[in-house]
Amino acid sequence: MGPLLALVGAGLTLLSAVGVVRFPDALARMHALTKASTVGVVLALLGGAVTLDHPNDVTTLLLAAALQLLTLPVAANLMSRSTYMARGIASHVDEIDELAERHALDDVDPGPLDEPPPPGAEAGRPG
Amino acid sequence: MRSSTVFAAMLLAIWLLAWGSVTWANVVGGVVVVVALLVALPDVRHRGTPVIVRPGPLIRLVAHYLRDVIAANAQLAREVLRPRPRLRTAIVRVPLAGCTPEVLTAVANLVAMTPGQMPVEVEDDPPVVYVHVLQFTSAVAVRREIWGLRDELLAAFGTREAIAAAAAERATLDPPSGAAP
Amino acid sequence: MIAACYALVVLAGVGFAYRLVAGPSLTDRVIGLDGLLVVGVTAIVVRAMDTGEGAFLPVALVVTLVGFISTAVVARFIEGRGR
Repeated sequence: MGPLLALVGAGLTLLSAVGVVRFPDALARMHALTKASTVGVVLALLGGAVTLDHPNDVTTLLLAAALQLLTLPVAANLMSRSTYMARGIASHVDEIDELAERHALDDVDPGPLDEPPPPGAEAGRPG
Repeated sequence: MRSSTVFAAMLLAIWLLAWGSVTWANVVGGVVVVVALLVALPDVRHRGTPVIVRPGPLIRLVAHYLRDVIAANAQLAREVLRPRPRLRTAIVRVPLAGCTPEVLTAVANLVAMTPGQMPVEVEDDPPVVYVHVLQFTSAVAVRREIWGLRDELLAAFGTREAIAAAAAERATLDPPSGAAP
Repeated sequence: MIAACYALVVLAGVGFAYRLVAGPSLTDRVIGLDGLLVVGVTAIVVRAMDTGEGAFLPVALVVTLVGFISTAVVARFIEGRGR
């Protein structure tokens, strides 16, 4: 039972990797990573918890599974938000985009991405 | 049961799981650490809102979550194995009334595991979540699905006022007669 | 069956490593790195099931936590840097 769970988990991780390689857009790759590899790693950890005997190992694996399940969706949310907001990354949205209007309200033009150094910054300083 | 008590119990459980065995030394050490954390974090200590858990809706929520996860992976497998992935992406705004910050966080996390949906932005006041969908059919369909998730979460964890507020907002934005908002 | 697990995990690692190297933006590279961390945790667990020794399992726990923190920090960095 344990190795079977780990096999399904490894298969889902491979599915996630294929999605990450094939999808055309950064946000779509985020979808593939979050949905498949979260479940994959939780299944693999549960398979290990079923197989191993020592109670110390079992509790460590259960704790790792719970933490993976809690942290991976949050990390995906943070990354999706930053990817969408970063001006230099192409977020290709086909149909409607209701977040863009929201951001147009409070978007201030911050200037070019690479600022030239302010004049006089390298003037000799005592130190 | 107050939320600070639940917080303390969860921390103690994580401490014991990390140490691997329930001995007196571990339990005493865990209690010391938990008390020290509660002393150091006055916000958690003072919040003390009552925690409501209804077991029937909670089981329905867990079953819904498992079904969603399996469906999400099946859909992902179909999309990945297609010769050219056919995606019609969109970002939809979903207002969520009646959500405390904890319920809003739970909605965002569950949406991340729903087939074809990913939260992009979460706002607190008023509670709104912006959702990125891979296969866009209509905005109303996306909103209905996420409202269903929110209603299940509130049925399991929410106060009666929150459930009433959510139902009132849903009645105005999505009238049951089927007229488009 | 353990050998099949190893093979699947190695293939997944190759896929994520490709995205880490080739991803046009920083987000793609972070996705590849996060995937490699997941592959690492799975490999640790499969190895523990293979040999029966749980000596490396706390590493899986620490990798989970540190991976989450570092992903959150890089997310803030991407938002500020814009690239």
